[in-house]
This record gives sequence, C-alpha cells and structure tokens, in this order.
Amino acid sequence: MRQIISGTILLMLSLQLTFGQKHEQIQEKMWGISNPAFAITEVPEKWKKESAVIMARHIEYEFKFRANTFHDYTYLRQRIKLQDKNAVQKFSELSFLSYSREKVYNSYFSYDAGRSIRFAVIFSNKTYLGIRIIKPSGKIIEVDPQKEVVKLKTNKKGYEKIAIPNLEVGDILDYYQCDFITNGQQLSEVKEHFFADEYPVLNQTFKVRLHREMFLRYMCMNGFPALKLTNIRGKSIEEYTAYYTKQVLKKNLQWFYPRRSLPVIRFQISRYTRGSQNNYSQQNLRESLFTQKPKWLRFLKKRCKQKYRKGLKKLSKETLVKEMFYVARWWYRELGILLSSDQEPGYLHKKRLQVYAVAQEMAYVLDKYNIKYQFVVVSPRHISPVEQLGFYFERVILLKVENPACWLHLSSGHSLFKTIAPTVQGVKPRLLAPKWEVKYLTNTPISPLSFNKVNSVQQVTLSKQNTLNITRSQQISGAIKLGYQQAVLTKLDIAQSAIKIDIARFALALKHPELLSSRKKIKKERSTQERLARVKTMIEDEYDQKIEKVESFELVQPGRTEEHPNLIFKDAFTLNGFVKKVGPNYIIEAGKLIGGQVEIKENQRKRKYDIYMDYPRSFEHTINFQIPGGYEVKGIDKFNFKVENETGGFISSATKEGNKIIIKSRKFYKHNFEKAEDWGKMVEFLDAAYQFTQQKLLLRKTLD
Amino acid sequence: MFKHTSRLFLFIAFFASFQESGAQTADKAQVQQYQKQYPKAKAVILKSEIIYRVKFNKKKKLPYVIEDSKETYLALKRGGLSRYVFYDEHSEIKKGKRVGKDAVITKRTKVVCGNYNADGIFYSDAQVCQYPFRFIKEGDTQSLNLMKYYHDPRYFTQVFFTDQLPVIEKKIVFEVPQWMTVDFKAYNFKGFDIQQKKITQSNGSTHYIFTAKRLSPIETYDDVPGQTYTYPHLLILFKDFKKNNQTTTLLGSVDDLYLWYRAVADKVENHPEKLKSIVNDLLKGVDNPEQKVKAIFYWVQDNIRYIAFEDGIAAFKPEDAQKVYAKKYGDCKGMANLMKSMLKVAGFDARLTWIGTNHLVYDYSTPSIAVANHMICTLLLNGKKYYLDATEKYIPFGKYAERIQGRPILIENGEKYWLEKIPVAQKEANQVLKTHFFEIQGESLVGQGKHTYRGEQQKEILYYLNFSSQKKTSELVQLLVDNNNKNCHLDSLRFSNPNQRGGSFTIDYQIKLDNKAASFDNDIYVDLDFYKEFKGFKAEKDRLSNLNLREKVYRQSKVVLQIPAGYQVKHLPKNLNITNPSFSIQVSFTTTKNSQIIYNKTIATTNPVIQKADFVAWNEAIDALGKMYNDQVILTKLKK
Repeated sequence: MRQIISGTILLMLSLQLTFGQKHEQIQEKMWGISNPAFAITEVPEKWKKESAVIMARHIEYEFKFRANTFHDYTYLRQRIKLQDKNAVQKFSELSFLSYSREKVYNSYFSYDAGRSIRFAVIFSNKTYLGIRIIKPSGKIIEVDPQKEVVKLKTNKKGYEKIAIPNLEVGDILDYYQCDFITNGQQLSEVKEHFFADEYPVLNQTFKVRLHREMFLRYMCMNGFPALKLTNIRGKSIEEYTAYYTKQVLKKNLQWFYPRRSLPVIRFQISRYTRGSQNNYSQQNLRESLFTQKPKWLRFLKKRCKQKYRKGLKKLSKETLVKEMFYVARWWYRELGILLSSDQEPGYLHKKRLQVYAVAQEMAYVLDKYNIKYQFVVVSPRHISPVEQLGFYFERVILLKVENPACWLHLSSGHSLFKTIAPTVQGVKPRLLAPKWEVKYLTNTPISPLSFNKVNSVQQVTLSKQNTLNITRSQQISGAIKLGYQQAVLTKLDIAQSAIKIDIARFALALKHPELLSSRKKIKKERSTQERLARVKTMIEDEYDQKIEKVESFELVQPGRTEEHPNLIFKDAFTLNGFVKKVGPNYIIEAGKLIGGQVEIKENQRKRKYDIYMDYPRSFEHTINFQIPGGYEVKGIDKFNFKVENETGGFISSATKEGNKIIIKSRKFYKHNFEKAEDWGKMVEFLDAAYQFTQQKLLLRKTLD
Repeated sequence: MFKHTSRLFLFIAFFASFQESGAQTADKAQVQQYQKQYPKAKAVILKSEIIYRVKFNKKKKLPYVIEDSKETYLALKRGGLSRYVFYDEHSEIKKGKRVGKDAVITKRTKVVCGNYNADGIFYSDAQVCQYPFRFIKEGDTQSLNLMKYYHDPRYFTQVFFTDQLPVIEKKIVFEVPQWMTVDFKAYNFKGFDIQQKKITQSNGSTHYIFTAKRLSPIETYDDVPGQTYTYPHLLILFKDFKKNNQTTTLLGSVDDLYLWYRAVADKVENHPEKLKSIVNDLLKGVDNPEQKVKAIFYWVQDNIRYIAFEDGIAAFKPEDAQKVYAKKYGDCKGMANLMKSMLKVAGFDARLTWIGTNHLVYDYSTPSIAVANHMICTLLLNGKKYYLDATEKYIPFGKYAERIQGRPILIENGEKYWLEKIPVAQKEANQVLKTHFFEIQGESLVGQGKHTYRGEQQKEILYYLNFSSQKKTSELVQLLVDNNNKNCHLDSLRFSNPNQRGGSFTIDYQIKLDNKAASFDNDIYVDLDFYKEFKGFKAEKDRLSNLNLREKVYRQSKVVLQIPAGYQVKHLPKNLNITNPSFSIQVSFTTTKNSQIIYNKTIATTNPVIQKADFVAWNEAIDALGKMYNDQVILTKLKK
C-alpha cells in the first residue's frame, strides 16, 4: 500500500516537474523569437489614429504524432501597441480554456481496411501564457500570469481569466499564448490563417512545423506568400515559413467571400501513410469512387413496381434516374426533417455525415442498370477558387449522367432532380476516374436569371384604422425557394409531398419503432401555429415593422416536385406603418410595399473587393392599390424608374386602371459574380430600388 | 460486476418511476389550459414545497439554515429543460436529485456544476449547478429534490416566490426554533395570491407558512426596474439568537450592520505613503481645494479600469488602495477606497459610503447586507458633503448618476455612522436639445442642425465615444445625428471635446434630408421631425413590471422651416399638450411673420420609471404623439 502511495506521489511530482520544465522551455522559446520586428516600439505615422497596432505577430503550428496520439500545438506571440482606451479595455482581460479532458468517439476511413474505423479519443488541452508590458519609457514589466489568474471550473473544463494589471494607453502589450491540444485523430481539422486583421499588423510570421510521419496539404490564396520549406535535424522536422509585411484590414462587406478575396492559407495535417504527396491527396478521392449498395434500393424497386407496374430494368432511363433521386432524397433528407433530432436513429444521422455516401450509392444503381455517368468533385464557390479543390469534408461529389443528360446533387430535403445547389454552380469539376490523370470538365452550369425568381402580387386596401390590408400571392422558383420553404412548410407539408413509402414496414424492418407513426405524430395544429410564427417573422423582416398577426395563410404548392417546381403561397396581413393622415388627406408610402431594399451609404460607395453573390435572381412585384371612394390619387408618375446595365437593373411603372393603382417593379441581378470595378453599376440600380421605396402616393379628398 | 450494478440501478430507477407516476398525473385538459395560458413556457412548476429549517452549529457557534425542497415540473412542450441552482462560499448543495417518470432518460445528461460567469463581473465565487431534464411528451412530470445548506444566516437574505417558469403552487415554510429571532419583511405581495400563516409548535418553535398560487414567470423585457421592485419576495432578517443563556446579535439593527461593515472594512491595509507621489504630481500647482478634489476624482475615473471581483469576503471588503493604484483596476469598493486614501493624502476628510443603487427597492430601515450593492466615497468640504463615484467614467464633480440619485446611504463616521440621501437632480439636468433650420430644395430639407446633450445622456455618450476605437469617433458622432438613415447626409460635422466633463456635449453640422418634402401638384408635404423620439414606445398592457427609462427624460426639439417664396401654409398638424404628474408631452407649430414655421417639442418625465398605474395614460400619450408624427405640414402655391 505504501508503495502505491509513494508511487502516486512520485508520479504527481514528476508530472508537476515536467509541467514546470515545459513552461520554462516554452518561455525561453517564445521570448527568444529572434525576429527584429519584436524590438520595434515606434508606430508609423500612418497608423497613429488606429485603436491599436500589432507591431509584430508570430504564429506557429506544430504537429506531432506520438504514442498513437495527435499533438496539435499552436504558439502565438504578439506585440500590441495600445493607442486608446478601447484597446486597453479589449486587451486587458484575457480568458481561455486552460484545461480540458474529454473522451470523444471518432472515426476515420482507413484506405487499407476499406471501411471506417471507430475509436475513442482522449481530447485534452493545456495553455501556457506569458505577458510583458513595455511602458513608453522603455521599462519592461514582467507580469506573472500565475499570480494574476483566476480559475473558473466546471466538471470537465477549466477556464482561466487574467486581468492584466497596470496597463495604460501608450503601453505595448507583449504576450504569448501556447495551446497544446492532444487527440487521437489522424487528420487535423482544416485550419485557416488570414493575414488580415481588425488592426494593422506590421510584421507577421507564419510557420508550420511538422515532425516525422506528418504530411501538410495547403492552399495559399489571394496573395498569401509561398511557403518556404526548411529541414531541421536531418529530415525529421519540416518547417514551412511565410513572412508578410503588408497591412490588410478586415472588412465586413455585403456579398463578400473573405476566402476568395483576402490573403489566406488553408491547411490540413494528416499522418503520412505511404506513397507520395500526390497519393495522399488522391486517397480521399479514391474513396469516393467506391460504389456502395444502397439500403434504399428495395424501396426504389417497390415504389416503381407499385407506381409503374414495372421492374427497374424495364423503366426508361430518365424515369429510373428520377425515381432513384427522389428515393435517395427521402432516405437521406426527408426522414431527417420529419423526425426530430432526438428521435432520429443514430445510424441515419451517421449516414448523413458520410459525405460521399449519397453519390456512391446512386452510382451503384446507375452501374447496375447500365446508365453512363461520371464522378466529379468540386469545391463550393465560397471556399476556394474554381481550380483548387477544397479539403475532404468541404468537397462535394456530383454525378454527371450522360443519358438522361443531367447533374445529380442532393443538397437539401427540397432538392429537385436535375438541379445543383448554387454553391457549386459555375465551378470547375475535376473528373474522378480510376486512372489518376488530372482532368477537369467544363464548368458546372450557373442557373439563369429567369430560374431564380420571386413573383409577388399584392392586393392593397386602406382600412378605417389608417392601416393597409394586404393579401398577396407569391410564387417562388429556383434557389431562392429554399429559404422560403424552410419558413412556410410544415413537417406535414413535407410528409404529404414526399414520395409515399410504407414507413411502418420500413421502421419495423430496421428495428426502430419510434419511426412507426412519425407521420401521425406530426401534430397539425401545433405545426401550423409554428408556421404562422415563422411567416410572421418573415413578413416583419421584409417590411421592417411589427405586425399584429398573419390574418391568413394558404400553401398552394410546396414546390417539391418536378411537375410543380414552384413554391406558391398566399398570405394576408395588416401593415400599420405606411399610412400618414395629413389633414383630410392620406399619404401612402406605397414604394415600401416591395419590402426593404439594400441601402448603400456614403462610405460604402467605393469598393475594393469583388462581389460574390449566391446566384442570379429577380424580384417582381405587382401592387394593386384600391383607391378608396371620395379620394383622388396624386403622385403616380413618381413610381417610374428604369435603370438597367450589364450587372442588373430596376424597372418600375405605375398606372391607374379604374379605381385601382397598379404599380409594377422588377429588380434583377444578372450574375452571381461582379468585378469590384463594376460595383458602381450595381449601386446605380440598388439606389434606384431604394429611391423607389421612398415614393409616396397622395390620396386627396375630393370635394363632394 | 459492472453488469450487476447496472441492472440493480435500472431496477431502482424503474421502481422509482412507478412510484412517481402514481403520485403526479396531470390530465390533458389541464395541460392544454396551461399551454394556452403560458404559450412560451416549456414547463410549469406544478408544485413547489420548500422548507427552511434553522439549526445550530455547535462548533461554529452559529445558526445555519437547511433548505429542503421538492419542485415538480409539468412539461408543456416535449424536449429539454434546465434548472439552475446557485451556491457560493457561504452555501452548499448537499443533495440534488432528479426523480420522476423518464428520469432515467433525464439522467443520461449529467449535472454540470461550476463557476457562474455573469456579464460584467470578472470573477465571482458564485457557483451554479445545472440540472437538465428531458421530457418525452407533454404532460409528463418530473421533480427536483434538493437539499442546500446556508452556513451563515447573514448571507441568506432573500427568498423569491416567482421563477423563470410559471408557478402553479408554491409553499414556503420557515421552521424557526424558539432560540432564534427572525423577522420577515414582505415585498410586492399586493396583487398576488399569497397567504401567510404562523403556527406555534408544541416544542416552542414557530412555523411561518407562505402559500402562493398562480404566479406568472419573471418577465424578460429589457426596460424593467430591478426584480426587487416587482416580484413578491421575502427579506429575511436574522436578528439574534439565544443559546446557553447568552444572546448573540447577528444583524439586529442598522447599528449591527454598521459594525459588520466596519469590521470588514477594517481588514483593509492601506499604505497611504505609496500614494503620495501620484497625489503630489496631480496637485502640483493646484491651490483651490475644489480643483484639487477634481484632479484626484477625474484621475481615478480616467485611469482605474472597472473590473468586478465578488469572491468571498472580497465581495464586501475593499481592495487595499495601493494595490488598486498599482494594478490600475478595481471594483467599486477598490475605487472608493482609493479615492478616500488619495483624498486623505491630499489633506481632505473622506469616508467610505455604502449604498444600494436604484436597482434595489430596499433602504436602511432594514438591517440586511442585501440593502447595499455598491460603494462610493463621501467627501466633506466646507461643511458640505460630496459623493464621489469613480466607477462612473464621465461624471463631473458635484453631479450624480441617475442610478444613485435619491438613494439612501450609510457613511462611516468612527463609532457611529450617518444616514443620508444622495441629492436628486431636476429632469432638466438631462436635457437633450436638437435644433434645426431647414429650407426646402426639391424633395429634400437642407440646412443646419445642432445637438446638445447634458446629464445622463452626456455621460453615456462620452463613455461610448471614449471607449470606442479612436478611429471611429467621428463616425459614431455622425451616427448620433444620422441614425444610420440613408436619407440623411451630413457635412461640416463638428463636436465638442469628448473628454470634457460638465457643461454639455454639442454637435454642429450642415444637413440634407432626402425624401422629406413630397410635391403633389401645387402642394408640398413636409415631414419636419426626423427623429420622432418615443414613437411607438408603448408599455405592454398586462406586464408586471414598471417601465424603466433609466433616466428622467427631458428631450427637446426645435425646427425652423423657411417657407419657400410663393408658398403659404395650407395645413399644420395639431398642437399637443399632455400633462400628467409623471410625464408631459408638448408640441406646437407656429407660423411667424417672416414666413417661417416653428416646431417645438418637449417630452419629459418626472422620474426614470413610469409606474404601471400610469401605463394607460402613457400609452394614450404615445398614441397621440404617433398621430402627430404621422401628420405633416402642407404648403401650397399662392394663387396668382
């Protein structure tokens, strides 16, 4: 017994010792960084008005794989000149996760085994910190983090907070923070490093240091300098370095994809298995080429038998591919929407996480019925430029079917056959073929302007309470639909417009009885109420005013089938903010009935960065305003606008027909991308649309 | 071995769930009724029974309190629900058990305990345990059985009846032995169904029983006063106890409270000599005593960052003055103590002062540590008292923040103490004045404008400007004028020094407001008021809490519109004159001989809070104001 105790004490002591030693080593390493930029104290005149200036920043990522554990170390040191109270306030309190130890389950795909392997991982985290303050006089004050720290704990995690003492405007805060994370993964998460910051950074060093058996895959984009490789200790350590001395300030802009516009490196570390670098990057790709027999195949067979009274072989290829797509959509997406998350059987959830599974399974069916197709891989537009493939989990696998000629992409529970999601439109697909030649196909198609459309027709009357009663019908098509569908469709609508599959037998077959009565379980009343709440929020966001309630709502068509691809719904509500009673007359802010428009303010009129939008689109509004008896209408001519150029346009008109004023408007964005220099052209029609919203109709009381 | 235990455990859980389901069932109609009544609530507290037993700790020679409670939740929605129980250095959770039907599923999610990280407090010893529940379906019930110890009765001050969830029935019992003297002070019982009973037991102990029914949940509006103003609760005053023929006083009177304050404050070890050099630096060349005080007061405001620590005794004991000075940060107590020490070094008479801000309803008629939540420093100068609160960053000497105005204070004075009140400023001290001169150009209004801010608004704006990035100062000032509205274009923007306390903060500018004059045939419709303060600012009719405006409001606008040549006034909106003891709104439109329309508007409130009783009148006034805002000036072409 005594031996055991002393053993424990010894172990604890040695642990403490290593911690202490480690901290000393880190301290030495971090304060000893030899970059002369860390000695500069004078801020260039140009940056004196900034809140803070980062005089030098050193960031270093180190990766080791030892004892079956992945070690992921991040070293950050920076020297910040604090130039105002805001900066002092911001940097005077540091808080961080100091300790955590958690058991998580992970899985990885083993190429050798040809399957996923699941294993438990102890995830732990430790942080080291060092702080110095350099006073304007040059005096250096060493802050002892251990003395200033307060510790916050929960069962599993420890947080530390430090209030840095004696910090004043004009000081330089020099600190390092090293985060040591260990886990048992084979692959680090995708890391990103932007050189752009909220504050100007005068001098930046970026390093990745790899120990034996580690492999780095990276992408430098938008002017991120090329990495320089040096080998240390023979070849056992590889160090990649980049320096950057330009100052790029972080921006928050509309229609802005930072990863496509700012200097950034994106990288991922994995265990070096076998073969060359090229092999590694293709290893994941090769995985996607496996075809898998889908579990849903029997449902496809059954459905086709019931619907067409034919076996799959006898169906036309078009019908077969279409039915396959919708059965896959049901299996992968609709089930997930219909069941709440805690009800969803674990394996279904897991299935959805396997990014390539859908494509692999559809490919199996295509193979089986001799339908020619190609496997292609793309990266979403917002992640990387067309010619660069993103990382494993970011990639999207599409199937390009030859006959019927179409793309297959299951991106949401409402995806339609032959359409692909806007995020992968207009990108360069790389062909995946058993021979590993790098071959790109022509870009994926971008949906045309006419495809993504909102068409709204409103009947507007003035009420006695000086409010506007609105009944409207909206028809939405293309990619814009998805957001609306999420708001206006209930689970019941989804269930009713899903393909009919005998869910009871399916559930029993899979031993998940909770699936049994999911359709029955969806409570009509409750889900309708929840929908009304969502529609209310949608209307309030659109018109930027609170409404009392949605008077009525009718879903005409959910837009989830190819035969009826458009979402159509009708709603009615009352707006109280757009009527002004002026003496005996009324001013109606009719322009605002097309909803809030993008406001480009003075300081947003110049633009340096390219404009990335999701898709080309158009918004058409028809407002039928009923003129109340005893009033005449003035100001109709103010609603005529016409601005059109190569980026888009805004066109509107107003006419009087009988006792109605009919105002029509159409705003359209022709492309999903514009060059920064064309911003001015966009502003032209955006301004016109805004100015339209400022137009009013006058209802003047006529003399009786 | 492992298998056996788990089976045993399952058996127990199974058994327990049976027991529970027998005990508590709620019928469907009842659930539906609650769902209708509380549409937002995930669950209601069907029944809550809390017994507080006062016991005696022989070792510590101090009474302690055991809280023994059982709370039953009825699910109105399926899914998760979290309950939070707080504890700290003076209290402890001895037992926390989740029981009921499906408690097995509930218990799959473990209880997490740890430090409570509150907004605005850097570190506190407050700890919290989160008890997660999971309800499989609506109408299910589960309970939380809890046993909590309060080791020092002085720190056990309040018991609230209301909760984040609606309460259907709550019973609170205090079992007070004969040797203990306790007072209960009830707050906000009016309007709630709360019955109280007192039963003397055969052993001489007394049971105080409070039964509350149908309590609405605590509201989540932003504009409410502190909870002690609205919700029914008890302030518990443990006065003294008799043990072994000896009476020991806890907090029997304000005298005792002061003794306790002093005992804590006496633990401070100030070393004034360490402050001498900074005080001498600050006072170099300053002769006037008031100037001297200002130099020190403003230096502390400017240079000591506010960081709150509420750690055990540190929640009451000020940090040593020299430490606050060295660290350049502190909480209210640290700053008050530093102020006092620095003033003393400079030769002034300064005292620590305990105060409850207007967040609290209490005053010094009750001896409880719950009365104060703040500390300031009182300066005695030329027979007058000045109250210095250095946590306010841009307050001038002799002026007081709204949150302490009128609040009772306790000032240290050797063996005794003084009870006083902070002076209350007039509403005019918070004046915000916006003046404009406009001409009509096309569909725009063009001219000059000026904003003047005083008092509370000035203080807030200076803080906002100084603690935002210096690069953005101008942009933020602009935002105060243009409200981020695309129709507003500013030029020649000038503003007074944002470091200047006292006087007023002013902004001058040239302005162009687009789309504010609309022409129809011979008429021009002009919308004169760009800001439309308090438009739609109505109070929710059936809410429990008063409307907290945070300051005595005094907003004035004056617009002069030059009538274009060849035009005359066809219509002016109606003037408004609404006066109520707690607020007033005055609006007038007049035309002058030299072709100008003058628009004057004053919106004022007597107090920072609009009482519930005034809600009807307030909402009517806001409606009338809205109607006026919707009306416009009509100018028409003179007929030739």
